[in-house]
Amino acid sequence: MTHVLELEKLESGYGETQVLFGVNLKARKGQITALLGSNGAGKSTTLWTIMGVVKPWGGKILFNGEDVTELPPHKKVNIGMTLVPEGRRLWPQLTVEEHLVMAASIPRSREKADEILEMVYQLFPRLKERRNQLAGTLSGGEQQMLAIARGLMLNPVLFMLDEPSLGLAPKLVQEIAETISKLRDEWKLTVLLVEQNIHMSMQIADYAYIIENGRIVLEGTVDELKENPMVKKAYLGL
Amino acid sequence: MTEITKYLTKPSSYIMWILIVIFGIIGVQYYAGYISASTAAIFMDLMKFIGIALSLAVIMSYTGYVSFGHVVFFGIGGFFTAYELSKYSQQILQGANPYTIFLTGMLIGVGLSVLLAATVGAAVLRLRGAFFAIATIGLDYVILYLEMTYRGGAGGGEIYFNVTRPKFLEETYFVFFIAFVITLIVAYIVKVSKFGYGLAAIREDEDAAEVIGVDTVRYKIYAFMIAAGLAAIWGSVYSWRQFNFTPENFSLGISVDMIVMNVIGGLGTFIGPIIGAFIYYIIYRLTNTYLPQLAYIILGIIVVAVVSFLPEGVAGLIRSKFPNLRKYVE
Repeated sequence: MTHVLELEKLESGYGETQVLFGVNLKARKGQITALLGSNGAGKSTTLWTIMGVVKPWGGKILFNGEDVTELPPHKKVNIGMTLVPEGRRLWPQLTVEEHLVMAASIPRSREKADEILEMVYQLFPRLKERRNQLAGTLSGGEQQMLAIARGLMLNPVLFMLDEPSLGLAPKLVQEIAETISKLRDEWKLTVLLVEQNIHMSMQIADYAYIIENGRIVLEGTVDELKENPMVKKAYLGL
Repeated sequence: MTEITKYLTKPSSYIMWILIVIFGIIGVQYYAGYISASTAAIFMDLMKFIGIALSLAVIMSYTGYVSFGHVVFFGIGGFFTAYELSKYSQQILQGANPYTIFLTGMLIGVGLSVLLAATVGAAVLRLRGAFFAIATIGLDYVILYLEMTYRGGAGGGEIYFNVTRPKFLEETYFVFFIAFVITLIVAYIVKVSKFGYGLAAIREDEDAAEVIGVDTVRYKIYAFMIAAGLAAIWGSVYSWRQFNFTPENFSLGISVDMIVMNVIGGLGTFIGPIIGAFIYYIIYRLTNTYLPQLAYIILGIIVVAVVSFLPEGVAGLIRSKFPNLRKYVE
């Protein structure tokens, strides 16, 4: 099995505070890998460190077998690593289409921009209807769609999502989950999904890691984890 | 090239073209003698106000980084223009073309400003927050005191020259006009290009900009270089018109003027600094004419009022109240 992303003993933090203590993680090609844990466990920090926005303190980040630990964020984006940050992080004063056009202006997707835009609009017809609307005026669900769409415009290989279900109604969570499955099955992307919503993640993921206090405490296929007594008790509430 | 044509024919460029036509017509009228010198001077002042406001807008309003000491580039442009013109004043009196000398001075000023912006930017724009604003204030003072050591026959840091020629004022209107057109077009293209989207992304959320592939440090430095170059052009044409250069041209008051115009007009837009410059200039003229003692108090109150009640400025107000106009108001 080939791994698109490998983290080896990744350490990082903010200022003097260490958050990640040797995180080992692999994202398998063409699968959805979930990174699960509660608030403050280090999930988002892991993603920001993978992207290089938070500088790694130690350890290695391998992308398709290449060491990209020291690469600055914009170069990582350009080799196909994409993060859809938590809380959408859209630009309220820009329109839907401006978000998408801007994302597609990186060298990696410039040539194929029109083609990808067409695919993105097929995936999210709602965004096509609202292409000239300011992002700040979209509903929560639409904003999440736009955040995902913006990420897709970067023509990713590895698609990392940070809590896409956050703050959404259950019906919308279901829609997002279906979208993410489509990204794996139809778009053939490798997905790294970070979530607090364990139920939703278990439903679509192939493999999962559980992180606590900056350390991976458990990993396995989703079926294995579902049967694990600790997971049952602590996370699934069974 | 096709890209640029595309940008310059967008609906949001119409206001810019209208301004260019109006100011152009006024210049022709002035040259033909239909408009008095004092009326023309008002339009020249307006062009300068709009010009310096737009120069700062590229870094402050588009990118979200306040260059507090932005006047430093205005000063550098002015200094080298005045320096060149005074150095060759003998030749000019003997019939040398002052415009080539003026252009040389301007190019030196603009070049050095851009270079300085690149250097300072590379050092400070890696950091976020207030560091940049503070660094630019420091920069302004450093350059100001350096400049004041210059003894060019007049007092410390002062330069006077004479380029009197027939129709000087009428020609100067066109010098301003050319600078005005350049500034408008550059600032507009920066705003609507993909580079401008990148700057907007940085302004609105820098982390998010980074993860969609914007090379934020490089973008910020480029924006600062463009802003510096435009400010230097205005310092240069201002010196040309004044026949002199004094350390006053490094006064932080001019920086504050630029900032205020951007705030009143509305941050993050191309049209904002233009509207802001108009409003600011009108208030400035009225108060200085009728209530000179209270001029700055009144301006101060207006700024506080705008910040409190119209945080997005006049352009923001237009955009939110009249969504139909949005495509014209970029």
